[in-house]
Amino acid sequence: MSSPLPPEPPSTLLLREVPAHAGTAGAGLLGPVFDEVLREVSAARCRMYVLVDLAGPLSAPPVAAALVAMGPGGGEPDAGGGAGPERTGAERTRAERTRTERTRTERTARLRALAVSTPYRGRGLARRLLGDLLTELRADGVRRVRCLAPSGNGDPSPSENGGLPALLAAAGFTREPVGAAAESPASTWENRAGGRAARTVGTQVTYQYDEPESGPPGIVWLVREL
Amino acid sequence: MRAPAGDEDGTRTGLDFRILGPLEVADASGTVLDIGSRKQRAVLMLLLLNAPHVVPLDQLIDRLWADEPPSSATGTLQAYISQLRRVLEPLRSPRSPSRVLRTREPGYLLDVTAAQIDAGRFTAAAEAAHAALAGGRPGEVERILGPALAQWRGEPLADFPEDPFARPAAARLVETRLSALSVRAEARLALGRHAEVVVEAERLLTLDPYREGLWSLLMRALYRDRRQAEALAAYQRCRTLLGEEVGLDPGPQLRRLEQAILDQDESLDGPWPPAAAVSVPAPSVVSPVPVSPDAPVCGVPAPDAPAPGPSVPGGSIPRPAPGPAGGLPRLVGREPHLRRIAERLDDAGRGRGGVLLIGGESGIGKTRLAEAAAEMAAERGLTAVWSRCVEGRGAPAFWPWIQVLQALGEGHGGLEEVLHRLTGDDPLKGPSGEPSEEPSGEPHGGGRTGADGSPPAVPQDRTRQDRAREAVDPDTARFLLYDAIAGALTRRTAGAPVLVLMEDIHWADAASLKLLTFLGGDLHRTPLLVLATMRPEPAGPDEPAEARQALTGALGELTRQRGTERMNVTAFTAEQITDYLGGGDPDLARALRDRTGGNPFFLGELLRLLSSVHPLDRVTAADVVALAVPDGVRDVITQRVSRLPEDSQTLLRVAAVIGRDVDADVLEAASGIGGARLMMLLEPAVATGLLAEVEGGWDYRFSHALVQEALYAGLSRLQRAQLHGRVGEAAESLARGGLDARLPVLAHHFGMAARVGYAAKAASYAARAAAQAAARLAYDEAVMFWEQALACLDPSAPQAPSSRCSLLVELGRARRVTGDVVGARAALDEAVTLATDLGDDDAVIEAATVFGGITLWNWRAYGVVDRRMVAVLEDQLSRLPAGQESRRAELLGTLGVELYYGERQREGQRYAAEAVALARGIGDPQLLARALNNFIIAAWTPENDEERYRAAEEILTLPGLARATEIIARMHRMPGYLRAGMLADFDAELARCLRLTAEVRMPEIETQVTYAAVGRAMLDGDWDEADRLTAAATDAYRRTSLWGPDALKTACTFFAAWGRGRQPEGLLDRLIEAGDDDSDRMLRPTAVLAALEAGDEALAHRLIDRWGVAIERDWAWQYTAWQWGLVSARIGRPDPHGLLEELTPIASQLMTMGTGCVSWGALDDVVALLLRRTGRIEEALAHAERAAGAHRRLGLRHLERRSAELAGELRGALRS
Repeated sequence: MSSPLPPEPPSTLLLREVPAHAGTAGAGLLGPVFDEVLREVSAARCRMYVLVDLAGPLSAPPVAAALVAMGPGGGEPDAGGGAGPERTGAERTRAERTRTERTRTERTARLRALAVSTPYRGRGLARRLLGDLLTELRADGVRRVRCLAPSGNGDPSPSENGGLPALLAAAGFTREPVGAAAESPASTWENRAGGRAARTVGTQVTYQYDEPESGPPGIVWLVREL
Repeated sequence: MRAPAGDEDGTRTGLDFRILGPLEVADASGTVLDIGSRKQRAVLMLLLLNAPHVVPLDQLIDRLWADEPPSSATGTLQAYISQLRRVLEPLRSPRSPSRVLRTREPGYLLDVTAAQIDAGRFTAAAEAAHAALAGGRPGEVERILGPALAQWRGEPLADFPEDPFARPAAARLVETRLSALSVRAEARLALGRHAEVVVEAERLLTLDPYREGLWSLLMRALYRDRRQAEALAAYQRCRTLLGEEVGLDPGPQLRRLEQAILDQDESLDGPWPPAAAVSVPAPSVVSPVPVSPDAPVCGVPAPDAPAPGPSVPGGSIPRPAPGPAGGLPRLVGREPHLRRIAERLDDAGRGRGGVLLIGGESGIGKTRLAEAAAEMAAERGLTAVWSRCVEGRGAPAFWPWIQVLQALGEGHGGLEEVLHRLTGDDPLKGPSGEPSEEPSGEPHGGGRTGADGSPPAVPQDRTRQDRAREAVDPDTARFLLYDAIAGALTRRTAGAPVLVLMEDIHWADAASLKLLTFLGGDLHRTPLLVLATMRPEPAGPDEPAEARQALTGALGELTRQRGTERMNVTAFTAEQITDYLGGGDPDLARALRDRTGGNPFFLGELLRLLSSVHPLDRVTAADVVALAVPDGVRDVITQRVSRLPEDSQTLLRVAAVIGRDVDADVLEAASGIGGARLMMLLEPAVATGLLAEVEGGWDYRFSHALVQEALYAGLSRLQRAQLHGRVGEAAESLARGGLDARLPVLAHHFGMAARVGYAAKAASYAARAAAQAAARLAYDEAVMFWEQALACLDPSAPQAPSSRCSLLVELGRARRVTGDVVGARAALDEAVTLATDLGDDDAVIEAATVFGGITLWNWRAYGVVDRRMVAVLEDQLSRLPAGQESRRAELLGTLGVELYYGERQREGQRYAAEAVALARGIGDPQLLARALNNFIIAAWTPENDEERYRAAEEILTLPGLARATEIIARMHRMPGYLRAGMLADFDAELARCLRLTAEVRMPEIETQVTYAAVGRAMLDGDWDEADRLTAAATDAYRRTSLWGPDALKTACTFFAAWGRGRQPEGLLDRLIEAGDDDSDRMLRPTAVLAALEAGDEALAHRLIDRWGVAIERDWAWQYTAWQWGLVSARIGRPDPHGLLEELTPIASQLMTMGTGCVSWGALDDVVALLLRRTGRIEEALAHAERAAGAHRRLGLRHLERRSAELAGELRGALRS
């Protein structure tokens, strides 16, 4: 999936983390799945990553977005209610940010959704975003990232999401050995989850992994050790 | 780059690294830390094996991510580095540099001591044990080795069994351990514990049966344990083993041992043999502390240990190392420069400073040379102070000097005070605070003054302020400021010589350059040496032409000063490249020279690129040739950048928009990411040497201007504009209270972003920056910012025309002060038009009367009347309400000047006189000075000489006179002295004006004073001096856009040549060409004279036929009449009788043109010639004799001789 050197000007894209709350930058890009995940997982345990073009207008929306839930189960609430209050402010103070970075000690994270804005498709930006956020998570001490495998068969729109399994494979995701998931205290809802992908929202394709579907037999977890 | 702080820091962290087993790190409390995934552990292990030396980033990637593209691998590596830092230093704040895992070009290093690594401790113990044994203290061995051996937890580097980088290290550690065990066994043997040693030796032999030392140990232990047969059997076992498995016999030592046992040699009771029976670890391999910079801590050779010799080992670029070479630092190819710098430093130490200009293209090594100069200065006890100029308009005026004064100023009240005047607001008005409101999108801002009385961004009704401004007199103020700085520097450097290193003065603001030239004049008697570096290349497309012009002007002036010299730094030759590389293949040097043109920076970058592509190979000429780089250092930099993570690249591009110096806060705000991530993303750029961390802060600086330029140049125009907008927003939001200091930066960034929605801010900040620059007496900068404000003004904004009008008036004013008359006129004309359309009389008058300010010269081109401006002034006068007498005086005076070159000249004189009368009545000295000056220019005709002289006298009596006004009044008075033959007075005034001019440095005045000196040299017959001064005056004149530099130069050249008696080639043609141009018609009689000089009388007649013989009654009347008189005396045209009528009444005057640029002797001479032409020989003789007498009295030798010759001829004519 390596792209040739672009003839156009050099890239000025940058990965940014934005607060995961309704209406945040990139939420529209992810579509309904964003709200669904936020209903399940405290916003404080979610990380919203967006790829923005710094040489674009300030008001321009991100060109790609991804949502990651922290914790071994991918975002089930802590037993002790460890999640902090949801931040709604667009900008946290630096001190706050620093503190937050310090307290992030989760070793596992779960990729919940990833989308690239239509006009920017086909430029390898999904790969870029995925690579960037893996680097970010790694720098924060996360050891493994999991996600539900997109189903390969019977996909309604292979042209739109056909690249997803390849993307994940290229990023180093592999099938998690059977039984490995049992090590993590997965919650019941996860067992109901099935791997479906490529949901069309407006003109944007949203890759989504946690849509409740059929029963447990179809579940395949992918994992990437960092 | 930060130097490792040494052991103290390392041990203070209390970390303990263990590799004798699986990799483990424990903190000070002994808790084993979680050091993460396998790859992360591998990174740590690689660093640990090389500690405390740098492992190049490219090698880390090559070893751990050979199959990944460098940009993504670098990102991954960076994530691990960040995480490791967090684990190793959990209490470090995210924005302070790591003390353990440091970044140092070209990669990373673990700043730990050998004592912090178990392998290091073990190796040290093994050596100590060996030394104890060899020293005959076997008793100590057990005590030393016991705890050391106890540290072993299993196979060394046990978690990296397959990794190639770990294998040699592990093998070596195993070997060291076996040696240590052998030493312990040997010691036990020496202590008589034979049986124990037998068991131990057998055990060790199972680990390594081919070690003959162990067989020897076993044999001796058995022998001493009285088991001779077993000892000999052991020998046989060894011999069989070696023979069967390797095909060798035991070595000579073992064979001698066997023989000794057979002989029951007594020596077997002592140590055996004299050389140790155990293999001794080579000290260079296992060393408790690094014995040399290349020896790693824990005994594992660096995978990239720099090979000696000419090869280019991975990542380590040979750097010209400072070394003793006749007391000079060693810099390849720069020995002559260094010698000269050393001499100049010695001179400076003895009180004779100066300016040393170092020129050379970018990347040629100017900064290296400057660094060497700083070192040499330090050796000589000079204080070295650095300052750097910044590209573009982003820096405040005087920025390089502000840095110098800040560095020198501490504890020196005088310097702190002048520094305050440079950085504070208006040094004349006292500090003015922050304007009361944030900039609105519209430059007017509504208010006229800030809440605290500071000037508004775009002042509207400036008539009163204009007056106030003239009262404070910018030029005097500037002189006083410069003088104060010079004084403070002189006091500061007295007895404590200083070297100022000023980098990149091609980017310096005009005000700073003026200050440099001002100071430069006196430095040869001050212990202050300024070493300034500059690029010679012509202006780039982005570089404002004015800036380059200021530089050219300043350099011209500087190089004329005593104590200034220039040096050029040139490219390396192939031989010098060989020298740079430390020897080696001449083909490689030639290939490198071909690729880089010998530019040292390019060379260094290319070597870095080569070494990152061929990490372990020696670079050859073929590699250089095969390298797929287009020529040009920018491409090399671009390739190096492309190896960084993509997010790092983006961040570097934003940083490049910020500038060479990168404010991390601005970068953080502009990119919208946190400080910790920002540091993480920039790390690889620091590690690869593209970016450097600034000492004592978290800001960054591009390691070389070319890096920033290459990144910036790579961006599209749209990207640049958008990024400038973001950077501007960031700088603005961070400025909060301190906006004043950031005005130029904000104006710069928003100006670059004007096309993408920031026009309003660009205009507003430019206007504020311009007002600030003008208040700081930096008029060239003010002009640039006013121009920007105008360019960025949104024409559709509601108040646009009136905003534009105000800005134009300010621009006109600022341009006038810098001498750009044409530019000023254009701005003011447009302002008048706009204000007229708006019906804003105040604005019309303000714009129209700017040119009625005090000037030496009529600002109109020769012979031009601007009828429109006249109409505007008359219209305003006719509608001016009663009671506005000051304004009426200004309008009348201005109108008088405007009418000068036309048929209404006499009417204009009356207006000017009326203005003077009005001003006298009002009693405002500034207004009166202005009106008198208007009169002097408006009434510049021969019959008014007396009145004009008195007006100039009157100006000089007024209180609070501005320096420029004083010079102008004196200059107006001087032609009167000359005409009257009062040469002593003229000379005294000229000397005084020359001195004052040096202070004011206004090109317009400088020009005219120099021209007066030209005329004076002509009177003395010093033609060479006249030519030299003509050239200087023309130079100065060209810096204004006033009429006349070419015409005056031609005239001066002609008369100097005339005095010499030979005309230069082509001058006649030039004169004729000029005479054909109506605006240079003043040169027509000169051209005719030249034709006669060339002996072409027919041509002279033709020219007169073509041009006529008008003599206009303007400032050049006397000069023109004199010349036509000379022509007429030769060919009878124009009519000699008419000329005699004009000239006879003033025959006793000396001839001078304008302010004195062509001066000749008494007009008696020409009158004598004309009389002779008309046949009145006797009268002619009387005039000639009078001229000869006058010239004799005045000591004008060549004129006396000419007059005497004429008189002689006339006497001869009378006799015949």
